[in-house]
Amino acid sequence: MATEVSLAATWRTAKPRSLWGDAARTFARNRAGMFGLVIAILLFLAAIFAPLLAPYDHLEQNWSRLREPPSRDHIMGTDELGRDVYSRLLMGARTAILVAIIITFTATIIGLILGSLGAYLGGWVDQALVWVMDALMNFPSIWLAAFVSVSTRPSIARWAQAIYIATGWESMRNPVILDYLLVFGCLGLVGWPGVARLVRSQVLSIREREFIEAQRAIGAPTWWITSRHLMPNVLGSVIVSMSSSFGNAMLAESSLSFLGVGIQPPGASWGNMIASSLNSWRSDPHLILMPGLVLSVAVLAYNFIGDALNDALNPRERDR
Amino acid sequence: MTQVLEVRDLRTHFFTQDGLVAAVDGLSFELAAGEIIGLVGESGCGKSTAALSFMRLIPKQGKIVSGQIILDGQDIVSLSEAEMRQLRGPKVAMIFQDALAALDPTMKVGHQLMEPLQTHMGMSPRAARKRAIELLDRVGIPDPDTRLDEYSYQFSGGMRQRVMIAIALSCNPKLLLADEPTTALDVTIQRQILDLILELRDETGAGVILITHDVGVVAEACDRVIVMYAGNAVEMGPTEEVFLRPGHPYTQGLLGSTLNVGRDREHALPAIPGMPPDLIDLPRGCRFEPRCPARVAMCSQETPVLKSIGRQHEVACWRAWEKAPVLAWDSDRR
Repeated sequence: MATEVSLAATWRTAKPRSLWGDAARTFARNRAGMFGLVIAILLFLAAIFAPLLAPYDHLEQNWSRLREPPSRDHIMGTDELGRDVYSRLLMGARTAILVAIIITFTATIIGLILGSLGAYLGGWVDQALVWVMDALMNFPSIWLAAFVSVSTRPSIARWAQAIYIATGWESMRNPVILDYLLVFGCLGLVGWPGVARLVRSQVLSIREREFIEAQRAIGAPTWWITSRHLMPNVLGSVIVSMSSSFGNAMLAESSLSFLGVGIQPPGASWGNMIASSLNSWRSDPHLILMPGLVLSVAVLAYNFIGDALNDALNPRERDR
Repeated sequence: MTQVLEVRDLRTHFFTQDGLVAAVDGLSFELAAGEIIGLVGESGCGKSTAALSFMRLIPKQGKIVSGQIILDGQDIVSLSEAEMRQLRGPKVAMIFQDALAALDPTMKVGHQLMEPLQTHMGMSPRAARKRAIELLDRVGIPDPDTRLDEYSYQFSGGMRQRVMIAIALSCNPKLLLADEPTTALDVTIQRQILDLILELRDETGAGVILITHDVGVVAEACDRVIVMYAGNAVEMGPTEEVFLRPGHPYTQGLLGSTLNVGRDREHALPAIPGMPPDLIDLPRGCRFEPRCPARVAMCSQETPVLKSIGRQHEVACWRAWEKAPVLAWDSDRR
């Protein structure tokens, strides 16, 4: 009798919970995930308010204070041209975040569209898509991105010049903007097949799941099944892949810039900051340590978030 | 009594890479309102394909090649997909074996229950919610008001199956297909679910087709039983009649291979030797002939069709039609 009463009581006190509310609660219990989220938010704020937070102009050179260790004036020291490392790091965060956002969204949108199209249409469309994806994924992605970036740069530059002549847009002459466009293009190109493959396989497998069949058995219209049952089930894994590809996009941008085919100096990127200080790492380790550390922590943070989201958005693995 | 389902010479074939699979090959029967028919047979004998045919939900490679399925006075074989969708829910609904797999893990149970009410019955969200609570209450889920806002993974196995039943019955279907509704549950829950289906049948007057390979479930719940073998009905009749006087050696084998605790302690459980035939490469004559202990020369020559051997009791077997009863399996124990 007593158990019955307490059972009824728990039922009555259990509040209705939404899928997303439930996911948020599970996420909040994940320490690594919360750590990642805090870092990610700090990073975003730093990127957005970089010009306000930076004590110096990130391009301003001070030839009397070259390669200084951290001091009161320059809390992270200065680089080989006497620029403030802290200010450059903040602007580098801007680059990293901007690139990551744009790459992740382009890759995800292209991947979503192509992946679901392939799964839906099947036949030769699907076959062709799989071939293209496999071909692109067979190359090491950084290698491919670097290759595309280097080989298309001259023609892109010519187009930009032509656009400038035709329209008079100043921005088309800005080499940093050209860098950005190239980086977006190459990383988007190597990024979408992963998403498309995920979406395609998810749509294919979820479409065959019994609850979709059960929906058809109760006479649910196709648009309803697609929007209310198929998409929410696909979206969970897409969100997870987005959060981890966010970190990877940052890493990829830095790698390209490190190799000298991404964001070029004087534009600030963590990758080119590391590259330009490579010669002096024995005497001035802080010049490599600072951007390297920030990059590692950022990538780690996004991977933590992806992991935590994976647990939170999978209702079956969620504990009550 | 009115017929809710009339199946005439239904043939559902699958066109696979290996060849034509005659999953259902000439099935005919009738189901009256409020009647429960048990569809029994081994795995792969065409039970589920038959049920999916009644909903026109057979997989892509499959096709109803001939025959009629008259659901509540309307032949559904030639209907368009859009017309058919209107019937799923209000005319015919299905209870699946694995309720966890058949419920959307990312949607609240309540919304899944309200969906058909809104799309088929045109209810407002508020009315649908009210009706959903009534339905959950009816199938015996305590505190339905709260449970409505939970997800399927928060329910126990039995409760999930109750939710499935509530969804299936939400639009008052004339025909309810239950594909092994109790197989995934433990025995006490099986009993409750079976009782629930019987009760709801009495209340709504729906015709029920219970697909199972559990002979005990059939004995308990069904008015009539159809025994299927390799895509065909081999025996059909009132449950009692079929169980007491099984005419087909396959039926005898099925009944003989169930456990009788009081009697069978000393004996090994008898089983039917061999496997059901490959549906691509069917033997000539009776399909059960290769496994049949009572076979005669005739069996491999000509295919027997259903023929009456008693009151409403039909069997497709050359030997069963002989005057003397065929006691093929281990006759001394009968």
